Amino acid sequence: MSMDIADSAAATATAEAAAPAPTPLLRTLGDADAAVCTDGFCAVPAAEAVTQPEAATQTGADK
Amino acid sequence: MKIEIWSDVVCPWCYIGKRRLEHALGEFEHADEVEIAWRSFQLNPDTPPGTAVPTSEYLVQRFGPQASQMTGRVAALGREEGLDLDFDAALTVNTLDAHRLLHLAADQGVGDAAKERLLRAHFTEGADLSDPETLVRLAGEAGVDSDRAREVLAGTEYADAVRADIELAQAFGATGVPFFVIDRKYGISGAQPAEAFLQALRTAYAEETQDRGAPTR
Repeated sequence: MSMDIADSAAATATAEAAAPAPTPLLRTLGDADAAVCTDGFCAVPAAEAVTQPEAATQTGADK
Repeated sequence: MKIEIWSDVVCPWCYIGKRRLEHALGEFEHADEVEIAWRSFQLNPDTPPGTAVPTSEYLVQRFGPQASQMTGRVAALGREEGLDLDFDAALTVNTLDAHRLLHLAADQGVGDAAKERLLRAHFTEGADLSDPETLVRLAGEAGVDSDRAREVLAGTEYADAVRADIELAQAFGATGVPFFVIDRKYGISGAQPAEAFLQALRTAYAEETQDRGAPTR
């Protein structure tokens, strides 16, 4: 599998174990579950997976 | 209001997200105050430079028989945005050179046109974005000086800028692309529906205006 953002970040974190964990810098707007590419292609969520409960990580207030 | 967009030219959701954001901006009351800056991200940085693999083959290797079902679904969503995503024609390549050229295009004031041209070339025309002359031609069609494009592609210019973009995305906690950042304060992940983009733009604008103490229009 090619390296995606999360993998890159993980690799960086491993290489620089002494570095402090990054603090979230941004306030999230929009739907946190919207489709993103992470690995060269973007798997489309199955229809039943699209209707999920409110995302626990949602920090935006614009729902 | 500045919107920075991390994306790759071989990312179908990035193309779909671009269209949806454009639709949202078409409805946004303050679109004339919006500046767009394209940021680089490479989904396949390990792909050997100078090689082009049919995307259909690449996806079958990656995902197995369900690959065609996946591309079919994304292509259908693309059609809803007026995009012709031809995964049978597309070629998977290392996009570092394409991103270096996009930085040149931005410096020449045609970043958005170049981004659109490369996305269409990859997804609709089956262009080989690892081929320098193809990149020069496409950049030229977007308004980039061709001699300058050849000069950049012959060296390593803008490679540092590409790396810096990717590192910044990681610092912002991006988990995939497209990834949108407004005024370095608000993050929006993914190809949101146009309505969600519009709502996010209005929220960000209202809060920024309130912070500056100016009345909203």
